[in-house]
Amino acid sequence: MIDFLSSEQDYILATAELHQVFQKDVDIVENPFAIGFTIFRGFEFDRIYGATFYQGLVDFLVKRDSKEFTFYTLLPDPVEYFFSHFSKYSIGRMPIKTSYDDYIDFLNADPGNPADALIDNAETIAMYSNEPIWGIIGSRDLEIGIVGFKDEKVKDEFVSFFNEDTFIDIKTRFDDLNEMLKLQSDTKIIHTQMIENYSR
Amino acid sequence: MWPSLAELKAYSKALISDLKEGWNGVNALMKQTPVETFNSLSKGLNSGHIQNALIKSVVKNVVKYATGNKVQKAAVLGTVTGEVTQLVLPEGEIAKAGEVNKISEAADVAKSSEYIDISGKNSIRNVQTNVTTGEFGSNLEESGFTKATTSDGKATTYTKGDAKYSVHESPQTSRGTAGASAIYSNGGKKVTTKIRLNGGGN
Repeated sequence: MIDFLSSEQDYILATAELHQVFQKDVDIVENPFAIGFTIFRGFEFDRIYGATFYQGLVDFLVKRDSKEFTFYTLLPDPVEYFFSHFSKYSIGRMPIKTSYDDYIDFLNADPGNPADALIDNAETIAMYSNEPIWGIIGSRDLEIGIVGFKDEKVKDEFVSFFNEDTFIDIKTRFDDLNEMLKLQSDTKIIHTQMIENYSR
Repeated sequence: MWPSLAELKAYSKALISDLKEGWNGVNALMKQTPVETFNSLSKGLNSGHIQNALIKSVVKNVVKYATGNKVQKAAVLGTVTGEVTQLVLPEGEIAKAGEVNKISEAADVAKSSEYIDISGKNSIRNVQTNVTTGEFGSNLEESGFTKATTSDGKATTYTKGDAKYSVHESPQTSRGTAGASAIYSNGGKKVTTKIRLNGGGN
């Protein structure tokens, strides 16, 4: 069973690792990936809850000899919102031996109010390991997840563990959404900004 | 000529039997995935079974009302084991039986609701509906789902057994682009369907 982080020391450590991959206080629209990350692929946000996606991620981490990854909720704020309400942080450390059922149980865990389970109320999330060469950021509102890499070799290795249709161009992801939902112009402007910001 | 109290009781008994059968059907529907439920509802609407069930629900309430304090002011005509063909009830008495009006409104909603599969490339199953978040939530609560709201009020969950709907009436952030939606997860707690509700930003 995976628990929410509850000690300040664990929170500080998890946040320090986060900031090796993502810049502090930079929104997903603006591209928060740290300097050196130049390769980005998009995917449907809800895939992070799927067994196939989880298994692909774990298999990649096994290949990399990583021991764990971190699920870090960026919005709502893990301190100002989550800790202030529930005296714990909306962050979990997942040893690679964690089963998919334990992973999804953690995301469905009731922190003190059932509707605040991460699977229901985490808006922006990050996933990363202690090896700052890859990272995932995702937004429920924007309906996109983005995985970033520092080099092509790691990207190729990562995507090889997933179904070939999982990762697509960020533009393609937004085109798919537009085709499905007939998005408003305001939304398309945000998408255009993101496509530019992740093309740097 | 008004039916006797004994006749009304007989009608009532037969109707209750019909309604129990209908309720079993509803329970079976709730155990299906949402899309299976939508398909079943669609078939039911097209065949007239749902309208019949709703009409019978109205009749049940009329009979209940009529066999209470107002026996002489209501009557049910028709073959209760088959189609209910006609209701005879003074207008004023229908108004007093508030539940009848509520069920009639539900029938209107059911007739006008649409659920269309809009799943796109590279996406989980997506269903578009003209049902609003309010209607959606009310329907789930009436079906026995338990409601819970996040501490910031931005999301609502409805759970019943292992089934859960996570409803977001609007985007959680100002840069959000998703409209109102409900995420359905099944017994395995896995997200399986996204329902695009009416009233969203898209």
